[in-house]
Amino acid sequence: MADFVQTLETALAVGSLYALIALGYTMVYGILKFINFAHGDVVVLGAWISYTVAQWCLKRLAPADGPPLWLGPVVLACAMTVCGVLGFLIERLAYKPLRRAPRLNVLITAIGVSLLLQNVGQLDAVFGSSPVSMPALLPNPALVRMSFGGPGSSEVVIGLVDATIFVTAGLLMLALETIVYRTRLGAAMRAVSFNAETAALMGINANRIISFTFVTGSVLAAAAGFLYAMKYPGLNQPAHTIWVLLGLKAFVSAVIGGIGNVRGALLGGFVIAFVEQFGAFYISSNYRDVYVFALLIIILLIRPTGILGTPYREKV
Amino acid sequence: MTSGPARFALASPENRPLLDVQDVGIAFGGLKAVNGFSLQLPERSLYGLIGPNGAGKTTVFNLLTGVYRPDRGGIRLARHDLTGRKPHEITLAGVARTFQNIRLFGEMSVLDNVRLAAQLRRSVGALSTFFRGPRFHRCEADLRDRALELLDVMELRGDADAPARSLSYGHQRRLEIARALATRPKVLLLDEPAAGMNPQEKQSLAKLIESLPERFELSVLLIDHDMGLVMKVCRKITVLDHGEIIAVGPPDRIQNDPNVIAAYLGEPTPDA
Repeated sequence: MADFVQTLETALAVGSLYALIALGYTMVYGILKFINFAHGDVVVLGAWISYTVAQWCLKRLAPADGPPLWLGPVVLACAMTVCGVLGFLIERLAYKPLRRAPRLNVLITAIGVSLLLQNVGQLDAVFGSSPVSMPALLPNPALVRMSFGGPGSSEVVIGLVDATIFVTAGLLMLALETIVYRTRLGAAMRAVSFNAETAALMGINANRIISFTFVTGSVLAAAAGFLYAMKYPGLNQPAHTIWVLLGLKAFVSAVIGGIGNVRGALLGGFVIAFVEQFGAFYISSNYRDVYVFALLIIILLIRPTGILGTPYREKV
Repeated sequence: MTSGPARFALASPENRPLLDVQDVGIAFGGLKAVNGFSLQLPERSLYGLIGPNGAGKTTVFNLLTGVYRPDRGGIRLARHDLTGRKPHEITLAGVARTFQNIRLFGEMSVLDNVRLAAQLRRSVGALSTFFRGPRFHRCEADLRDRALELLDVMELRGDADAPARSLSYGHQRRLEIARALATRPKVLLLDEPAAGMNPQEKQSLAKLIESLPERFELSVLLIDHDMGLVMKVCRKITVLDHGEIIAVGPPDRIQNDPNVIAAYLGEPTPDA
């Protein structure tokens, strides 16, 4: 029982991260109908910028009794800002010139941008090519201890870091949900995703909406990168496969939930994390990636548009 | 609405058209889709644009709304030069349209479709969007009222909360007009608004279109295949064929113009 609950807790934390990243994939797809493969690399950048800023601050401050509590939010804000600007620039410089090009061209460009970010990130002048260890910005005391069964049985522990992940990710998702479904800006976004040309004739500046989408997605990605680094402090170099897999799983989450659908991305993130974590615990952890991609194949076979995607009916 | 007749006349003298299109043309590859198109649309007028299929009517609308950029010629709306401007800028300047193939935001509610277009002229800063102060709420309420008012005019109020795609064809066409009106246009372009309507619906549509110029202080440029409707509603008509103007004039002249008859029915056989 304790194992079950602990796995559940991990799945929720990891699911929050996948969902945050998946939102970026799904929003861009919803509006521009292409997969921004560079999105996963923005997450990596978010993590590495968090590390760089945290290191710099700690060196300056050299606090005697651990990092101050305000440092975490400051680092997060820095990472979000830098990634937001980067997302804006990526769209402006790489994708906007291709607005009228075939979608395949944009897709290939996205892969190019992804490789560029990975490898520039590995330059010695940038982040370097060796793994580092993220300083613990938060103490990680157990907030909740649950014990199942009698004394001596194993306990479930929910630490402050995981709790921070839930809360931060939850708040960001709520903010996005509010923007998309409850504000005029969101209405304009939905209009552009439905038909950019018609939206323009309603006086909506589609380019501005597209920029906003990229900035928002990148800001969420930065948050995911920061939270990931908090949970797994061993940061691999930017071009490491583990990052590619992280981005890929988030992308799979978006697809499984129904790409283009904001709520679907949230659902997909949690579904993927559950399958991965429970599979890893109860079957074998060697195959954790296999469960994810097997689920992808199954979903694509029985419901190609994803769980919340609108079924596509072919008209004859 | 606030300006008296004297000030109105001063701001826009009789001899200056509201929409002034001069010698506009566009070619797709070797095809001259529209060639040397000119049009002077006076204030609060009802103007028709007709022609056989493929004559270039919708292309004219696409040129006027910035979907296509003209290869040559100029478009002015009152004092604004609209030539080569982007669609959203042109909408902001005061040109709105409906579409031949209905293009509503199907998943959104009827009310939201109109509200979306109405918000164009009401910018709210990001801050007040997030903090939702009293000004924001007043503005939201305003937009909602205005949208509902337009739905009233179009007799769609009962369906305000239904998704747009659930409306009948005729109602969807009316919703498109409501949505276009919500942008507060000075010129309204209607692209086959009567297509797919039954005679009764057409009749009430004709009445509606006739009431638009006074009610909303705008001019209407109307494309339709229903000659009865165009002849009844419009005071002046331009006829296009193969991208070129073949006739301009009031309905009764157009009806008897040999060039127009030839364009629609083919050349008369030279048996005389």
